[in-house]
Amino acid sequence: MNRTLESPESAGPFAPDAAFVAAYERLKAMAHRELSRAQPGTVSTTELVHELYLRLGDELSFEAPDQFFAYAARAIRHILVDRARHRLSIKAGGDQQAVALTDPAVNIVAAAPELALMLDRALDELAAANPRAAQVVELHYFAGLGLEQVAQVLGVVRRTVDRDWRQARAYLLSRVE
Amino acid sequence: MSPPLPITTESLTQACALFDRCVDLDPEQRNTLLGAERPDALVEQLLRAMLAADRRVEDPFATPAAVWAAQMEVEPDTIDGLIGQSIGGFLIVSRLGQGGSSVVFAAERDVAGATQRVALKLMRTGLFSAEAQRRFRREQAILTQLTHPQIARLIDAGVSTAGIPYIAMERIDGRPLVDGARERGLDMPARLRLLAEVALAVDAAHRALIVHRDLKPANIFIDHEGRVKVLDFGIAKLIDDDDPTQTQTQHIMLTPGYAAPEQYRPGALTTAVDVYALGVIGAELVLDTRLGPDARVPHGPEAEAQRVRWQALDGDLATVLRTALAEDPRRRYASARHFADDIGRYLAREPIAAHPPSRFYRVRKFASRHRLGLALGLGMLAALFAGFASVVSQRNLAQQQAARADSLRDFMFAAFADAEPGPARDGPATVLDAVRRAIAASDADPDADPQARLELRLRLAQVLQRQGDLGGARSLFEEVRNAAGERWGASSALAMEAATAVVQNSMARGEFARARSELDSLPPPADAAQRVERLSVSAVLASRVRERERALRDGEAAMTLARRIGDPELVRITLNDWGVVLVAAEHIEPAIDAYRELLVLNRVRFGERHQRVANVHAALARAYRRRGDLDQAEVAARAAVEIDRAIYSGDDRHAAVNLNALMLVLRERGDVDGALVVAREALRINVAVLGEGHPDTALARYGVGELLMRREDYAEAASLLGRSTVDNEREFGAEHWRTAATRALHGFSLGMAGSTEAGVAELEQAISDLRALPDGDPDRLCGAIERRARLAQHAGDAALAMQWLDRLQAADKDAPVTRACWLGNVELRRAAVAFDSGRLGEATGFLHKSGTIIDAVDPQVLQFSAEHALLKALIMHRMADPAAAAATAQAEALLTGLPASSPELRQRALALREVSRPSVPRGP
Repeated sequence: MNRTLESPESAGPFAPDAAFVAAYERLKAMAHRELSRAQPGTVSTTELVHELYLRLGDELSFEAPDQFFAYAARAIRHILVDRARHRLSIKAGGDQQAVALTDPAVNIVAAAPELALMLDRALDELAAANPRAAQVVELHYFAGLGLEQVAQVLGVVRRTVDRDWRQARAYLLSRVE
Repeated sequence: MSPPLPITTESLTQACALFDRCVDLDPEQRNTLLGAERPDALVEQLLRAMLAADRRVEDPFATPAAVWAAQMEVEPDTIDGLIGQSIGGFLIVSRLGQGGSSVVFAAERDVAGATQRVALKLMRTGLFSAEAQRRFRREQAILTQLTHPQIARLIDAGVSTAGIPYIAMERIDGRPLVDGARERGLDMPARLRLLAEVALAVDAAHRALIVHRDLKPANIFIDHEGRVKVLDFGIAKLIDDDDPTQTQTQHIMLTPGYAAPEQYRPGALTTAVDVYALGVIGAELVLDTRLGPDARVPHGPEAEAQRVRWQALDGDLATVLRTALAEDPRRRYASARHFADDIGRYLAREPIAAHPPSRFYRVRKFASRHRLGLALGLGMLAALFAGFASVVSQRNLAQQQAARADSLRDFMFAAFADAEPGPARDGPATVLDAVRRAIAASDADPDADPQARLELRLRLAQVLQRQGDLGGARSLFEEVRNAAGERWGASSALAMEAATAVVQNSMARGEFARARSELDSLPPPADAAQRVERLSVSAVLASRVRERERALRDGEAAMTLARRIGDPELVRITLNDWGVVLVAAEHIEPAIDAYRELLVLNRVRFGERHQRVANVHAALARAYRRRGDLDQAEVAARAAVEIDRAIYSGDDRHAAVNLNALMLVLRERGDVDGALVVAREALRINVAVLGEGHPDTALARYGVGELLMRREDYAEAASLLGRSTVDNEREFGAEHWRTAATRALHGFSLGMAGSTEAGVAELEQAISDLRALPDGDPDRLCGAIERRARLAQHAGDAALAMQWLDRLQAADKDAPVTRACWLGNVELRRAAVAFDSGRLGEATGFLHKSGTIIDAVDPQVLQFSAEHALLKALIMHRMADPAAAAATAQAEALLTGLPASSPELRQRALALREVSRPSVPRGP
């Protein structure tokens, strides 16, 4: 498997700029901190990314907000994978988790670190076959953008995004369970 | 997990393209397309997997990425930097492990020259709210008292100067349960013996009212001697940052796979969650495997193997485990001890107790068999305890008691189970019987922690009080107050709560002077919430003895302070009392506002169909009635009765109280027959629930008797009221106002029924008792004297009637405040007596006086106005006054506007019609 996740190089149409590597590390660190400070269950992906943009957008002088979202999505994806690995490395007692009691869609399986790693791997596979579908997943799931906004960021029509999302979802699901 | 496919980018690209083309086709078209395209096997396999996944509804994307990431939060690597540092006096030596919410270190400190080695748990996150920190300390105090050879002791806990909560526990060297059992090569009986040992340790903690909430093999160690030790008892609760009183989204820490189904739902957790976890642990020990996220349904790659192992288990053993694992907590073992007992029976090859249907099923069957007796059955008890829990926590006593109240509830369930009667038992069990059995059981339970035992008895006494056993409740309240006072001081929370309950008990018994002196001798309130409670009780008490100013002052102070504290629960409780005070002070509009606010709060807090919502409807009905708004009053009263019908599966005394509100509305409407039906139903319920001799039954019987009097069914009225008098006298003594007021009506109806001598004796006895009461109600005394005058009038003794009316005038004059316009009534009665003895001039004089007074005081009292007009018209007819016809018409008009007319009024109306006939000549 060709792993490209350890740096932002594979962030699609947004060309890797050396200046951004440091900026990206800051973004990731800040997202990490925000996630650690939040009470689990009160976190919203969209709000988190928005918060990050408010705090870092100017400072990092992205050319367009669109570009920022791609990096933010990548940062959150990285954090998820890092944490999943760390989780797996903890031998005992690492199985407690916070659950929102009033959320009917509580999906315990989702919290399994193995699942996060499987999802990550499947997303890499998909990126090789259909890069745009993989970007839709990153922007929609990892950056919390609505599908309409994803269409704007990618410069395609909404129908295309819907099709990509359905295809990507089907593939990822077929690979994680 | 999906089988590994040798995916190539090319095959995936093809599969994705085909997916887009055929995802919206029906299966037939799909096959046609695939037949034409002929993709290779790998592409087709990928495609079919995608199409299948496309139809799935639930998926990992349901959990947002950020939530997922937050759930997998891990320690920063700097945590190891803590080694060598000191926290809470403990020197951190090395890292032992890391969990989802904490890091555990080996640490030590010097105690009297010896080195104490502990497992020091540092919490990952701080305790956010001040309330969480207070709860942490309270919970810690409770946990510190928990000592059991097989439970790792809590040594110390606190919050470090850096704000990190830490917990120091007895350090156990050993191995986690399942691993340890495997490594020691333990056979099945040995494993089951370990499991029973664990269950007994858990049961001991439950008896101290502590729930583990996070039992799992990683929390249970086998030490070097092969003994089990349970770790982390109560820690889940200790570090829980959720305010149990908040209705918004709660988050709790739990371990999937070991958490009981109800842990995923909002609501207080009971000891039943630990029983469930014991079931999972037992199954894992016995099957020697890790079960999936749902222990009841084999899951994952080993699902098939697990199913086979379950089937291979001995049937009884599987039943034992499955009983512990029941989805419905009520169908699990009543306690961890019951679970341990059944394991013991299984090991001894004795028949196990848990055969489906389980014990709880039988308890429920018992409850439905004795529908009447158990009133609401277990559901009601649960509601009662849930109610206590919230009241307790809100009155700013220890909030952790919410969970303890749940443990108490479990105890109650067990008490029911143990008390299942044999077939020969006489009569149905009542909820009171069950509670009394529980009290006896708590007496005999030698293992109980003293505080838990006293608290249990306090809660049981509260059930007694609510169920109307005031005497039984009182002696328990006093016992708890004295015992807790001796042990922890009169100002301790438990002693204080019991002492306050004693005050309320006196109030419920109508012993207001005693209640006041008890209230005054309470230790000073410990906090603002207690001050609110104190003021509120004082206000209600003052309004009962008509100290109107004090009632309003204290009530208002309580209300203002409660709102300032801002605790919605406190506001809710205080509003209830405030409504009572306002109604008593005749501030009906503000009372209605208060009740309406309370109605909204209760609806939000408890939902539409709830006892407390029904009770507020009934209170509103009383207030509307006092305002004269009978339509609205009836709507409200019927709403209360409607809810009661929906929520109580059997008879309940609260339903009888609310029926009484409806009865009063109907009575005021003049619908005496309708009121009588309702009153008889209320009486029936009281007899069924509380029994014959109970004071509330006596009160309900009084209500029926009073209505019968209105219908002039004096004989039946006398019989009911006589019975009520006897019962009241036995409960409260002869000098109590309830007894005297009932006796007064009894005497009157006896007299009217023809037993003049006995009736007069009874009524005069009542009058002298009412007069002797230190804090008696002057209206009651005046009412009784008025009835005595009427009895004399009825017997044709005008002189005696006049004498009693003089006494009525004097009694009214002596009274500081009265509700009714007695003076106007006195003059009216005098006019009637004079008229009946043919002294028309005198009668005219009295009538004139009464008219002036009634106009000045309250011309709205239609009864008086109608009687006045009737008498006036009658006198004018006698005097052949030319204006008699006009006066007659006016009287008739007033009579038609009257909702209900008394027998005397009807007599006079008939007489008027008789005398006025000649002036309206009919026919030739």
